[in-house]
Amino acid sequence: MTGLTKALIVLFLLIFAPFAAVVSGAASPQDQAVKQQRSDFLKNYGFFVTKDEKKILNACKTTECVDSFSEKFWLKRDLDPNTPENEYKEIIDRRIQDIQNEIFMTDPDMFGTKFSESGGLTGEMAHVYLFYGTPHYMKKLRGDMIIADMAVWYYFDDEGYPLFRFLFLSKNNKSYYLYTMYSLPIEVRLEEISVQIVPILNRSDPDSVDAYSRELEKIIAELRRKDPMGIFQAAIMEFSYYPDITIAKALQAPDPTGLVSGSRKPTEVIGLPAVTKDQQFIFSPYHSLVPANFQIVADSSSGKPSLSLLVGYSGVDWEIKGDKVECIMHLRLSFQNKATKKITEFATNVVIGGSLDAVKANMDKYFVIDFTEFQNSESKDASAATMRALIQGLERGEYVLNLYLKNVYTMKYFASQNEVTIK
Amino acid sequence: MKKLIVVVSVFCLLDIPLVSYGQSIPAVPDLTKFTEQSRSHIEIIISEKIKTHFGFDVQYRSLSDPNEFVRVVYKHVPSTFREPNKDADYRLFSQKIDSLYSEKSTAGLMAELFSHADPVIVWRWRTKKDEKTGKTVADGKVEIWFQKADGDWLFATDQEISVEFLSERIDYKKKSMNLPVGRKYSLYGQPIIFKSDRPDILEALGRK
Repeated sequence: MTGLTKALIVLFLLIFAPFAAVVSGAASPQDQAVKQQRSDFLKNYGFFVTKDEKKILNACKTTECVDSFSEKFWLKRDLDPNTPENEYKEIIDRRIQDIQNEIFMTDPDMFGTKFSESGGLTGEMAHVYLFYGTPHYMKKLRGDMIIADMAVWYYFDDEGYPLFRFLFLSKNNKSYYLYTMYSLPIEVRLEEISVQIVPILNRSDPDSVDAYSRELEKIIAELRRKDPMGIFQAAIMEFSYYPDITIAKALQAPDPTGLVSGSRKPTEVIGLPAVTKDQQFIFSPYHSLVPANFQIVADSSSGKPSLSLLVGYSGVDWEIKGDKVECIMHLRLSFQNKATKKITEFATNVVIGGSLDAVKANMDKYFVIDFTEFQNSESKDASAATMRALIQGLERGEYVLNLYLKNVYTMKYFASQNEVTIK
Repeated sequence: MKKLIVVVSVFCLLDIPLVSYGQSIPAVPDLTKFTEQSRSHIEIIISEKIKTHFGFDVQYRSLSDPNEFVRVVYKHVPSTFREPNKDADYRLFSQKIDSLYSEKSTAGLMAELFSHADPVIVWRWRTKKDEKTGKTVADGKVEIWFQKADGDWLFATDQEISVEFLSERIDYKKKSMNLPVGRKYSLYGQPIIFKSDRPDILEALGRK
């Protein structure tokens, strides 16, 4: 390159470079608005945005694009699409409000702690709070010349085990940062909570090693003195009771697809009433009970009992079927031999029917359900095909007799437990 | 399994008038003049993930007399709750969210169960402050209303109601287990049984 060419290039740069900088640095008001919108979204919800979503958001050049992103973002996270509100967003927004209202400032366990002094909404303390809400247990430990100020947040699972132990450290009396040293050796962890220890530089120098060891011992002694219950010590040693749960995993942006449907299974409830809209009933005044008298009468000749139930007409739920009524109940009986523990079972469906008028007219009367000749649906052999046969087949001895009679629709029930002796 | 059905005709099976034991006993306290102080569930835990709710144990305090209390044991149809299995990733984030929603839906169901529960045991008592010790002590007798299995009420004063836990031997996956199935309250030998049906427990155990 000749001297003249170089001079021309320098001249060109001198003339045009500032202009080019101005041109490239200038953003239209619309660009500014988009940037602000993206920044606001990330400030509030950044911890929930996955890597792929962040790429899509950053590629947005219009406010409409950011709006559309936001709409899709929340739609994917709607815990119950059948309701108009987005429950997930409501929870997160409520937690954002809590952070802005500095809810821990006056909390007796976290007194004086402000999110704003630890990074605000984008700080590590806010990160944990936004994900998991108010800790199940939290405590502060005031530091001194040896150890740093600490705050611990525990979250327990349904079984009562510590699912997460988040430990925050502060070495300037104000801002807290998250302790994450779980995979490092113990001395490095102690260095982290110390305010003055100098990491050992020369391991071949016995004096240095001694001095370092003494410092570590001081830290341990101070920790034990200030944390006799071991709450902070446990948080230094182990993040979760479960080895497969790491702090990195706990703070990862949650996968929205797994959150909404895939892994979220509802609690199942078994035994609730199964009355359909089409069914009409004359209900008993009881919500749970089929009131009855269970009668065990010993046959003096055979020594075997006969069993029956005395039930009030008004005590059962009658399903109306035109001018007739019907009550279907499931009966289950079991005889457990107290010596051998052998169980002999009897089960059947009992269908009681009559005319609507007759039942209405007899509401103050009783009827008897005598089980003696009932067929046993639990039996595969003739020896226990009926209740009579089953009782006849029982060996001599003492038994626990359990009876359970349940309306198959309303689930109201009668239960009894008796001791009987077969002679 | 074959289902056998027994049909019982009920046309004038018996003509026995209902016996009312209730006429001679004081009326069960009217709770409209009381305010609820505490409520707990009556439940049994069958396994880590399975429990059965049977009723509620609620304490009330009189609105007009702060020294008058009523405790009621309610019974509803037994409802067996089975928590879903949760893998590690599921436990992580959704733990908190899910528990919120599980609590929300369970709370709704509990309110529903409470509205369809029968009061079966009622205690009423008064308290006073012992002037010598300054401690709160019973003032007078504890009145008890106890609903028998046939629906009639018993009335007693200063009686202990015994509570017994019930278990049954259940065969599941070729193993024989003695599982809790309910509880029995007794007064004067009369029982009130809170119990779940064996097939419901087996269903809960068998679900993945």
